[in-house]
Amino acid sequence: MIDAKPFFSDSKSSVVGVGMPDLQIIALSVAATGGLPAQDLERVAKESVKEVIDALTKAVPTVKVAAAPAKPKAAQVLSFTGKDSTEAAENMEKFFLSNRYSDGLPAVPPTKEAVEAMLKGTTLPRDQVVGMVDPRKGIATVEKIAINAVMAGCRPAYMPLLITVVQALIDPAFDLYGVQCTGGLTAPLIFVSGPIIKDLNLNFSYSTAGPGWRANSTIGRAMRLILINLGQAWPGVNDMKDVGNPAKFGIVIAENEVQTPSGWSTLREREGFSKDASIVSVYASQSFRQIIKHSVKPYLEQETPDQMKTALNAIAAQWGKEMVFVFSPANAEILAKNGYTPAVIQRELYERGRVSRKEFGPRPLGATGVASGVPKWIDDLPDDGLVPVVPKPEDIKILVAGGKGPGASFMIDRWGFGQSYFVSKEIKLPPNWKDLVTELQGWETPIEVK
Amino acid sequence: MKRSRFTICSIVLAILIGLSIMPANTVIQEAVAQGQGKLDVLDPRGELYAPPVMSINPRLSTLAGKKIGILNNTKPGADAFQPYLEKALKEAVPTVEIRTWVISYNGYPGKEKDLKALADWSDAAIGVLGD
Amino acid sequence: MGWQKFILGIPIFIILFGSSMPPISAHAGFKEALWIMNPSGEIESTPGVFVDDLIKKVMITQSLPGPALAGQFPHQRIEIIPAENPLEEINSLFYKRGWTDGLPIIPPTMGRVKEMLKYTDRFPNEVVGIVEPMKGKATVEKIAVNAVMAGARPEYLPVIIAAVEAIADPDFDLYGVQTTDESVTPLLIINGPVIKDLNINYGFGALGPGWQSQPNATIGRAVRLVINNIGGAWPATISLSGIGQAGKYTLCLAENEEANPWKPLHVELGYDPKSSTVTALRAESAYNVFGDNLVEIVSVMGTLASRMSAQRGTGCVTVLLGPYTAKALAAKGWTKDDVKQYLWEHGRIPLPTWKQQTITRPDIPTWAKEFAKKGSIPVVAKSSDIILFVAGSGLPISQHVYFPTWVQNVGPGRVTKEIKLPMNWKKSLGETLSKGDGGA
Repeated sequence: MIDAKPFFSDSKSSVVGVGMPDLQIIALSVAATGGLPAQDLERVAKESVKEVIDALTKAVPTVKVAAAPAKPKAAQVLSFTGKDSTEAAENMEKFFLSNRYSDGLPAVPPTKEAVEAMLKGTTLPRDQVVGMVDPRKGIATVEKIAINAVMAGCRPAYMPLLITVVQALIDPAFDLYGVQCTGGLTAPLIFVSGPIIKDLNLNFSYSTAGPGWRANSTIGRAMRLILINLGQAWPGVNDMKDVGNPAKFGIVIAENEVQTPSGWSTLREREGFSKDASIVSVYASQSFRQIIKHSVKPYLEQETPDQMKTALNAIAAQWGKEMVFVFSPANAEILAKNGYTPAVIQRELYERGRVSRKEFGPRPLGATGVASGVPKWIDDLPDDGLVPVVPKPEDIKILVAGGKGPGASFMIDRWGFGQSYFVSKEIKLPPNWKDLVTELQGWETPIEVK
Repeated sequence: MKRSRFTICSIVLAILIGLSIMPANTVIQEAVAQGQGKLDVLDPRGELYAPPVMSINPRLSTLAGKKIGILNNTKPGADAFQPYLEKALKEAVPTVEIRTWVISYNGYPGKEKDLKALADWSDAAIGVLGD
Repeated sequence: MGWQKFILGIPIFIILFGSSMPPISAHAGFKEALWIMNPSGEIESTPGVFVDDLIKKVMITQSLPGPALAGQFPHQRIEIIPAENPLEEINSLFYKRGWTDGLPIIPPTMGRVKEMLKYTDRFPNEVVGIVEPMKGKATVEKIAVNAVMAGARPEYLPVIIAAVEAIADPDFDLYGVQTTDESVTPLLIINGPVIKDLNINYGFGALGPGWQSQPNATIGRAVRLVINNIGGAWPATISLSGIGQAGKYTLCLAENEEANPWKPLHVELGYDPKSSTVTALRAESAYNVFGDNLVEIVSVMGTLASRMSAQRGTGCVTVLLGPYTAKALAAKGWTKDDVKQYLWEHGRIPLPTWKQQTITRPDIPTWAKEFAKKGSIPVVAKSSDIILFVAGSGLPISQHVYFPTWVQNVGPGRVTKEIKLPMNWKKSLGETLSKGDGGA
């Protein structure tokens, strides 16, 4: 395998996790090949060719890797001391920071008692393996999820939702490996739709994507801690996102079903789930692009399609996935009055959000376009033919969220370098759900909007 | 007489005071052990999964006359570098035969088929993975 | 006889040393009595009235949701709280009072606040600023309390104080920022030697979470807690921004001055290179842009995102330029001003779009009207209203970030303040750093 220099550590840290500990990896002397002038590429290729030949012809000593244990181990204990509880907790923080366990903010110490209490939020056994988290394939047992949930500040009743989030993230369609390690400035977002929003008093109104509401904040943060501690992606080592993205702290947006116009279906129904079910959806977001402020129709006709077009980098290579649109209740109301339903919006944007074949990519698209699943009819279009920005209208994901208004609506564009899909999963609730959520009463006043 | 009474009083006093303070001492030590000054937490970091090892194939004795399959992962950096790699390899080993497969690592319907084709055709494979 | 003296010694020993043992309240369930300081802002014009009291009134009269114990706390500087499990209990209490951002905070004990205050020469009750919208008094001490809660280390205090000065400055218009329905938050850019002193991140992960971003995350968060607790901008009650934005948790980073081929931001703004500054900007949601030239930044500038800045008044948009692209441009002979000029000339809102989007308002600035006559409208009045700084690692995958702005007819929207360090800065830092990493 050939890597550009900064990515060498990225690959080296991943080979054990994919079962190829002695894969020969060569680091080029440059930081990247894209954009380099021809003579540099030639020089680098000449420099590295001897190493390449050696890697294929010289003997390699076998690497001994310990056999995978039959059952994952229970979590080990980390002990901290100090002259009082304050100092002991400070020493824990220092350890977490210097050993890369931290997201930079203070963590709740995951003591045995706290983790026991968190585990009461699920009936799944603590050593049950939910899956392996990319890129380093850390094993996500229910216990490990609970430990990170405690650190984030979650309540036990958040566990079923959080476990479902992990299941969604590790679904191959989400491409967590790519999302974690890419150089593109992406952040996984969590959307929630269904009755669980009321049960957990998730904020679906003003500032749903911002701070202030514990359920949203801590669930998002637990996801980030799981990605750090189980996925083990660290900025600069194997997470190559450069400055990163503020949404990486963990944003949870809950659907404002109460103020969704009557006659509009909910996100979960469009995703193929029952209206009585609750789901989480994960999405590799990039930026929140404001598309509408006040009068709505002109925006949907011109502004939004323009932004859809500009939202893709290297369009042909990244074609084929979804886009998310969040409408404020006020904007949704105006849309509904003008005859728009989610299906109509999807069709409108699918028709209008188009780029010319010339803009889309080289002719022929070649191997790259084919590999991305671009259908032949698009490749065959004339130069001025129009290519839709998403494959089908249903790939435009819509939900109403945020406070009444006037508010603004956003297109949340998607990670520009990779192949990550919008993944939705149903949340399975334990039999003692009603009891679990009773504990949540009295923390905030319930969000009641009309 | 007075002196010995004083002594007895002080012993009794000592015992009484000692008895009242002793439980407190034990509590302090317990407190230091349990709450104050000591913190035991569970490790949030996941155990790494090590799947069954697929050891690399035996190395070739020489590349002369061999077939090298290149796996290009569709990213811009890979496309830029690959022609030069091919050129350099051909210059170093003129009898080598090179063929490229462009395979997206996710979502590409023909992935398994193309990987198998690459494996069947090649004597050795090189992955050129861009981002 | 000797043994009698020995026996006599026992009660004396116990009496002398027994009294120095700490008071114990209960045997089972040991409770620590914590002296916790109040983070909430007192209103200058009405002593004894805190911002929470005003917010509570709004909550009731307008039937708005909010924390369960809003306004229910002893209206005094310090509160003694006996707690068996201090971290959990005080977190719950503070959350219910509306004093957190939803994430766990560090209880602001007197001891911790005292440690924090070592890093300023200013008096604890000195008023740094009045924080909108509820006009709470941000004293040095109150700022320190919120800084402790955020998880900031004591040595971050001078930066946090400078940041609060910046946002409390009328030119920043925090009132507008916190009460608009748009999603806007202060973006804090740090310059100067303090970057290295405190290891403020300007490379990988600078805008996001991670162990390297602890200064970034906690400094930004401290400012957010000040806005929430002293300014009283409680989300959903006072701050009615539609969906909010991620940057509202924290949005703070340093410039990569070494990788900047031109002058660092604070030098460009007229500050001594050896001084350290905080620059506060009104930032809407970050646009992540890719490309080893300026083309994508320009295309994003021309969209609705920038409509606000071109439609209503004054403001600065911010461009975070990746080091690789910055160096490439400089190598071609571009100065920073050339880059800004290019962005300003090409990042234009086309006239038809402008006409379509612009609601007839009396406050469309003259400069925008003039440009509208000529056919294309820049996003800000002049190229110097584009704030450009360099951040990121040197990775040749050029990533940039564009921050649109929210405007009002008040102030430029960029406020820079010098970070005033205490006299014992170097010495105190040295002591802190030698305390080590804490072992397991």
